[in-house]
Amino acid sequence: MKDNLLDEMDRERVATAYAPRPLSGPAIVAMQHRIEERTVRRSRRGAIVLAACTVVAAIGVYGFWSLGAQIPPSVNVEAPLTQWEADVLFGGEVFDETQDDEELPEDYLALANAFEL
Amino acid sequence: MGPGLVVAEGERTKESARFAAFYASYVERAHRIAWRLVGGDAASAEDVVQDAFVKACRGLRDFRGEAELQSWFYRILLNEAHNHRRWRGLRMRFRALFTGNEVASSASMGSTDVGLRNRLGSAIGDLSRAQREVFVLMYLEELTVNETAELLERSPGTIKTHLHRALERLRAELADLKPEKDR
Repeated sequence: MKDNLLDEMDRERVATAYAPRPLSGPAIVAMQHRIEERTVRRSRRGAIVLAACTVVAAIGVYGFWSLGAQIPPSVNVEAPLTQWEADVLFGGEVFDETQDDEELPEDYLALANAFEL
Repeated sequence: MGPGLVVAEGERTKESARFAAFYASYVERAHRIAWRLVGGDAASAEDVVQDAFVKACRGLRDFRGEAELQSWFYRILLNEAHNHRRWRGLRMRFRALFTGNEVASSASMGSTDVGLRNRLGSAIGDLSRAQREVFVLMYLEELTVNETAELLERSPGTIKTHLHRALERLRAELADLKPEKDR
C-alpha cells in the first residue's frame, strides 16, 4: 500500500518533478566548446607554471652552488686565515694587516669587500 | 611539417574525437545528476558539469574499460557537486552575516510542479551527503545497488542502508504529499 509520494509507484513522478530542463543541442555544443577552451587554458597555464618553477629552481641551485663554492661552511670568516688557508686561497702569498690596500692581493680585496670586513 | 608533428597532430585529433564521444554520451546524465545534487540550480549544475569534464579530460587517455570510466567520471562529478554545495553554503552564510537574511538559491527547472520541486529540493538538501548521493543515483537515476556501490566505493549493504534512511527521512519530511491518484 502506498503511504505517500515516495513509494515505489510514484518514483517516476518524483524523478520528473525533480529534474532539470533537458539541455538543448546548442547548449550542449556551447558547453563542449567552453570545456575544450578551459582544458587548453589549463594545460597552457600548467606549462607556464612548470617553466617558472624550473627557472626559479635553476636560479636557486645556481645561487646555492656558487655561494657554496665561495664559502665552504666550515670556514669561519671572522677568524684570521691560517697559513694553510692562505696557501689555498692566495697561493701562499701571506699578507699582514699593516699593508696598504693597493698591495693586498685582488682576491683578498674582493673577499673582504663581499663580507664588509 | 615534420613526421613528428604529423604524429602529434594525429594524436591530438584522436584525443579530441575521443573526448567528443565521451562528452556526448555522458553530458545529459551528468547534467541531471549535478542539477539534482546542487539543489536545482541550473547555473551551478552547469559549472559542476564543466569542472568535472575539465578534470576528466586529462585522465581520459588512461582508461580502456567503459565501466571503470563511468564510475571514475561520476565520482569526479559527485565530488565537484559536493565541493560546490559546501562553498555555496559558506558563501551564503557569509552573505547572511551582512544582509541579515538567508539568500535563496536560484532554482530553475523544466517541471511545472514548482511547489513539489521546491519541497523535494529542500528535503533532499537536508539529507547527509551519502544519503543524498545514494538517493539521487538509485532512486532518481535508477542505478543498481552494485553500480552505486562501485561508484561510491562502499559496500552494497552500506548503500542499501543509506537509501533506506534517506527514504525514511524524506517520507517523514514529505508525509503530507500524497501519490497522484490519491490526490
